[in-house]
Amino acid sequence: MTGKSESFTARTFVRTLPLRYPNRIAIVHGSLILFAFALIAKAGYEQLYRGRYWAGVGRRQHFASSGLPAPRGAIEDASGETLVESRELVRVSVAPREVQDRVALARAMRRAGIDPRWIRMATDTTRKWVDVKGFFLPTAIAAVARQHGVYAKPVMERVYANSGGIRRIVGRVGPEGNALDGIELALDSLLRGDTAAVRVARDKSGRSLAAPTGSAEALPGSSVTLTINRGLQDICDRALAAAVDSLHASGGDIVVMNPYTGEVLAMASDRSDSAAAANTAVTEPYEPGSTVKPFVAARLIALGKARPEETINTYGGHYTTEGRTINDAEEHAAVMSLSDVIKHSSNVGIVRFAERLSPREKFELLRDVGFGAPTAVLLPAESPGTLREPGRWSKQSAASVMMGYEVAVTPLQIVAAYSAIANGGELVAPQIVKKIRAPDGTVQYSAHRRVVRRVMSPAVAATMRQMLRDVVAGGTSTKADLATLDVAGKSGTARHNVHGHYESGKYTASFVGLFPDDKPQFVVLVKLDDPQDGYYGGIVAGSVTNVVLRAALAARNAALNLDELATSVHAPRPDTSAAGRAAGRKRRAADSATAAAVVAANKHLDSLAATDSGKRAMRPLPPLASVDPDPRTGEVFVVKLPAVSRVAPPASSLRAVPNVEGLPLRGAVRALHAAGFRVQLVPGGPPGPVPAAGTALGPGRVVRIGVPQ
Amino acid sequence: MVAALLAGFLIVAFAVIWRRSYGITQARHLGELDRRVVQLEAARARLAGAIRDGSGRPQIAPAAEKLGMIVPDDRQVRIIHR
Repeated sequence: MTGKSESFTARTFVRTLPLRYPNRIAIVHGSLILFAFALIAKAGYEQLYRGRYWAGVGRRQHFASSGLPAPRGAIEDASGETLVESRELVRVSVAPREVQDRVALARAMRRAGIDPRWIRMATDTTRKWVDVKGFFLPTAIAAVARQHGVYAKPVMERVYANSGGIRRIVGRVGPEGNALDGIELALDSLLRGDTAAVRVARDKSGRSLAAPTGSAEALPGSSVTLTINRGLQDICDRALAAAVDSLHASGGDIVVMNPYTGEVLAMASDRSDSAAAANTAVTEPYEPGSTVKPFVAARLIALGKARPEETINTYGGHYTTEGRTINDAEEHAAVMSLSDVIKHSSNVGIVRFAERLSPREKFELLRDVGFGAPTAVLLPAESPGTLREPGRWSKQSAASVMMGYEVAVTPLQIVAAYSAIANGGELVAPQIVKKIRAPDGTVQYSAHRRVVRRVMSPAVAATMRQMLRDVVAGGTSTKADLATLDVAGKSGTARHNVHGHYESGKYTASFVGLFPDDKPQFVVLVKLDDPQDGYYGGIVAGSVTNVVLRAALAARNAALNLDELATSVHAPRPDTSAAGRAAGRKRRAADSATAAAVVAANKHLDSLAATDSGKRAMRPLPPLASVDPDPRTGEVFVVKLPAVSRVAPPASSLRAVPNVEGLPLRGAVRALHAAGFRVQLVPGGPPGPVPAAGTALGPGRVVRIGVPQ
Repeated sequence: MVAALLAGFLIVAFAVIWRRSYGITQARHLGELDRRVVQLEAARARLAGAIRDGSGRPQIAPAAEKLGMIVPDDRQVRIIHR
């Protein structure tokens, strides 16, 4: 009885205390409540405590960083004509397993001209990733880039003017965009620009979407304007190539410089080794030979140790000093004046005169004109040449250096030295870069005339120009002369030094010309290495100089000041040679034909003007106040050209940045879009638009607006 | 009241989704236009280079020589003094 009663009491107790001893439903309910609490706690933990972490994960999933290559700055010639610029090409990669329509991809790749081998690889699903070889124009590859699984990466390529000479000056850029030589290397930090790392939004398939926030534009490199005149450069390139080819020379250089400003107007180099890409006019020194003699004469005159008309015994062109016999190339008179020594390039004469100078004076006269030191022109790997101090000279060196041996100069150095004679005695630093502009147009660098030192007085320089004029008029370099304009200059024929030894039959032929002689606009150096068909500098290099000058005169724009040049023109000298007489006959016939053509053209225009349509087409010409007949022929040619009605230039497409002050961000963006600009929001930037309101910009340009971070 | 709130929520949600979709479409279009600009710029650079090379002396001079044209002698050049 007692046991039964106890058992009942215990069960009843259990029933009456369900919470203390839960049944199954209560356990389930309790678990759910706990799970709900756990969920809320976890959500709170992730949202509140780890919220920033997950926001970052989200940003990484929805946004991607993308590198935008910056276009390298353009390189232009002195007249603003583009020599080098960048263009965007595309490198194509394919993930074959992501490609949805392999047939369409293969078709698009075939149309883009991609090698079938790469097409097979790009559609081979056993491969994960294929980088298609080569770079493609974006227009050519557009259909391929639209396919799923195709990734197009932009890369920049340099487009060079089709001129070997210009390429040597501007240099090259490697496939990875690294500058290798030339101006590209010397000014790489300015030309390179800044690559932009932009954040772009991505859609569900991972494709980039344009987004105004966080976008940035790659900052293009600065543009560089050279002093080179492309027309003149082409003339020099062509003349040099023709000379090297016809004379079977191993190479050559031509440098043209403005003697007053130091601007290098053309710099052509040619080597038989087509792989040689160096700008040898600044990297390869050579022994200048007789082109050094005018500087010796100038120093003798300046020091009062000789006068131009002063004579000296040249012993018939053979003179022995310090155990060595010096010979002249031609037989001369036994006694020669200093002017004649220069005119006929007498080795004996210059050595005899130079005996009046001490070794230090000899060294200084060459050092003062810039030999043995780099010109500091903005080109890499410039050679300083060789000029040894007198303490390192041998007994024979004193005579050798006065004849242009045992001293090595670059073509640019010798042109700079002759510029001092041309401009009245100042050694000016050669310049190859005229201007550097930042992408926004601001000038970062502008070349100025830089005088290194005065190396002779204006009077001595004038005397030297007269001596050099005589060299071309009746000395060793008559081939360089023109009929209506005077050229001054000096030739040099030096034996070719190979590894410290002079090889027989090998010469360096050169000529340095001043054009025109009274007010030189050009200093021209023509140098030919080891020419086989003739080697006298005055003949072979002088002829090339003549070709260059004639072509420059006939060119539309070859850096010549024609107004100034017109004052130097004189009546043509008669050419008494048989070839000259024949050329004269041909020229007169051509002039007659031209005159007849002009008369016929005028008659045609007169008849045209008589018709109604002609009257409408041609406005009456203003009367010619006076036309001076040609003083030599008395002829007056007047060509009546129909007045062309000019088409009005299109209205400027520039528009002002609107004033968005006080507008909400969305309204400001809308106003700028409506005005035709693109908008970039800059977190933390200044609130107003950049550029400021009222600034004239072209359509499509980016205007930046700051937004609070 | 609850139905009205629910309806309002749905309208706002649809508006947000529509606006976002429209923005993405426009962004794609803008991206296409940007790519087109780049393509045309590259084509312009190529054509400008071809014109420069074609009009340069290295191309013109050989053709002129084939036509029998010569560089005039300095006697044949008249410099007009302004």
